[in-house]
Amino acid sequence: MEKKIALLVAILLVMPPLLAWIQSAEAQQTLKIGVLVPYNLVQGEAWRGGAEGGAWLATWDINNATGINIGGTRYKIELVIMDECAYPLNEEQARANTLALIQAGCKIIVGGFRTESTNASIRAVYEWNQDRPDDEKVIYLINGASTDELITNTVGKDYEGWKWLFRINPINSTMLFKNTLGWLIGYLIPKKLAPMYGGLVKYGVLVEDYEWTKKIQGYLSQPGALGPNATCVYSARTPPETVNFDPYLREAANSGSRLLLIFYTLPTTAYLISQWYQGQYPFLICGIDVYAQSSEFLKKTGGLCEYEMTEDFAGTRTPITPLAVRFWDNFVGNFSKPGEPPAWPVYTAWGAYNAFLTIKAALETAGELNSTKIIQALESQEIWVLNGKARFTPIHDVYSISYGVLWPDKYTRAVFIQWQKGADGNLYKVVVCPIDQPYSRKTMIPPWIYPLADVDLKIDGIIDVFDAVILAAAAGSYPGHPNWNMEADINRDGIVDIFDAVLLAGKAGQQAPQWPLP
Amino acid sequence: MVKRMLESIIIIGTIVGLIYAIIALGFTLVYGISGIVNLTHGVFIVVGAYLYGVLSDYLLKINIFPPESPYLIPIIAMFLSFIFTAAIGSIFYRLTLHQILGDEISILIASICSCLIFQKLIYITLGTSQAFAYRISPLAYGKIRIINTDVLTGQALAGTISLITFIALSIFISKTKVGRAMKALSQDLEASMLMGISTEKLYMLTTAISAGLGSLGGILYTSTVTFGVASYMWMSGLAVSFTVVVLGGLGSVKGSLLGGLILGLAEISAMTILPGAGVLQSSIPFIVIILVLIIRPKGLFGKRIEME
Repeated sequence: MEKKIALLVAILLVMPPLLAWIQSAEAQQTLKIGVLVPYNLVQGEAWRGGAEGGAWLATWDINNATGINIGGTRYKIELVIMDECAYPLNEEQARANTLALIQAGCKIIVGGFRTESTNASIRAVYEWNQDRPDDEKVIYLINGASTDELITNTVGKDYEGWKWLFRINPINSTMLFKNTLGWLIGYLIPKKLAPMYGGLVKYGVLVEDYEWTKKIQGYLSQPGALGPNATCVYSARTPPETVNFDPYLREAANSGSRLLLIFYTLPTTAYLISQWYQGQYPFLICGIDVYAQSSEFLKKTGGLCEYEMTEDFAGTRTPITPLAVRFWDNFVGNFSKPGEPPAWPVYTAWGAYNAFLTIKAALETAGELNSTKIIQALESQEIWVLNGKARFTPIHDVYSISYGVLWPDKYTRAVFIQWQKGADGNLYKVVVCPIDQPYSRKTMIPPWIYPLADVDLKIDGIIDVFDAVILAAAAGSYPGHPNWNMEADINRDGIVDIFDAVLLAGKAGQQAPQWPLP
Repeated sequence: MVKRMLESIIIIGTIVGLIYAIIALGFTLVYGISGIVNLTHGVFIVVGAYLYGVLSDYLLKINIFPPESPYLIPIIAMFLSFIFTAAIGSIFYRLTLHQILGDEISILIASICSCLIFQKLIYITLGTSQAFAYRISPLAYGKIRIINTDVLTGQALAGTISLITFIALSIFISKTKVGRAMKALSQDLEASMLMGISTEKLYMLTTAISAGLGSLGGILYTSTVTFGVASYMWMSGLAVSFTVVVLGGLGSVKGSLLGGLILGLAEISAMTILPGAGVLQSSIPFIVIILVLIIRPKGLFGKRIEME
């Protein structure tokens, strides 16, 4: 009896440390994930809002929660970060860094911002994977490069050889361009600008002189490219080193442009936009301006970026999903440096975080570190990420179908933002397209183009009872309400109320000096 | 319509020309007095603009000036930038140009190398982007109407500052002892030395003033045209300086004023009249140089340069 009691006590004494040892042994499992970051660019470093921050935030969030449960074993992520060598471009080094990640034990790689360095990187993985059995291939998720051919010329042409390659972010160039067209043709031109200019909007196209803009410029310069209410009157390419855009802006104005479409990745758009704002040129600026997505842009223009519109991943702290706001706050809180602009995450940061959510879900579905099963899981899964629902197309591109002004399906898509002043006088990126979301707000027209634009709800050049009727019809409404009319929300606070009426009344009776506008 | 277009070309071209003239003034001054073709002048334009940007932001941050005097900050920043850049210019002269005075090829090589070194230094200290080293706040906001043309207030102010600087420099050279000594040096080196004029001190002072003028040109250009400074902008600054002195003649202060005006008018005319001229913008100075050299090789007011 005494022996039995002694045995029981011994077991009870040994159990806790034994259990703890088992648990800690479980937590010792690590999964190395490699991340290629485009250093020296806004899309890179965490403190500038880049991919590095998204990767770290995802890692902390996952590790601090339950880790990744792969077949009953908990894994913690160990990040291995290397330079993508996008700027200055060094394809050889990009290749070498990719191989270094694989040799460090990374089974999954996230990265690929610039097309050229991404090409070098994925080809290095392709060569590596060729000698590996199907179950042991390295999986690669592209984050940043939108060029269609990265997927169509690989997975699209040789599925078996490239099935380990996916693109999680952004949506491809074709869809990005369709988003631009959808916004311009679906809303901005017919609903806002055509009424101001007597039915026909003259527009110009200004692009950086790089390969990716050639097709875009060619398309937009054609008659009818933007519908029956628009005609192209100006088209130019600027050398990459251009700092004085005044001659181009002057030319665009002299040609009669009232909308200037710009397509730039270079940070020199800080000059372009500052000069546009200061010069008060008589056209709106809209397009793809990658640098304008960052908070650094705000600092570089000194706030002279109000009214610019650009395609983006999200606006400032946009509640696209509940996850998005938490992500934004944590990102800014963790990575902002004193004395520098706050670290607003740019699209590569969002994409990196989405990549990790996607990887986690796929690994837990697969149940083992078997690339065949992981690939199958990635191909079949549909999960909520920061900016909507994410799944892949049959050729492993991120699935996106919405490109107009409405977003009923909630699959990830691009949005259009406009830099607008908030109630506190600071500038924020506000989502103006899609127009059917609770956070969507009306597009602002610069006062030097049309000072009465914010209250001229009927867009007829005069502030009168007809504008009041439109406002009254929407009174009390908010996003989602059946009577909601975004245009009637003059102060853009998300509700049509007495404060909007006061603003309207304050300009009652005023007229545009000339109508339609010249 | 044509009348309004011509008015616009003349008014804006004149203002832009005055800014170009001040950019080139220091370059021509150095050559006129010391015979040095100082290509580092382009860097002083960039350094001056960058210093102005940093100083303006700092003065704004420490918030010691009354809000009813908003122009105090740009004026003080401009003055300090002028002084600091002048100091950099004189140090540069002492460390490099002075050692190789008389050897024109060495001077050219040394000044080009200095430009590349400075460009890298600016990039290293500022870090983020070669294309956009620093934001420069507008000198003034809004527009004013001159005759029938809307002109940026900042540009009109810059043109005025440029004109005042030219007048001040003319008075300095003709009325002050130091100025007259500089003039004497430019006319006859040996005679000046015999008269007890210290060439070394005057060359250093000239380089300092030239650097300061370059910084002023850079400040006026970046605060009224580009609103930002890039580390490689020294190249376009140098292109403008070359064009202006070729038009006006190397060593002629009066010539650089007229040369600047001609370049400004030519540029604005091309932008206004020729379709697709925006892309030619950076080439216009070189087109003008070639045309002038063909028609009048010595420039408008300078001496003919004889080939030995």
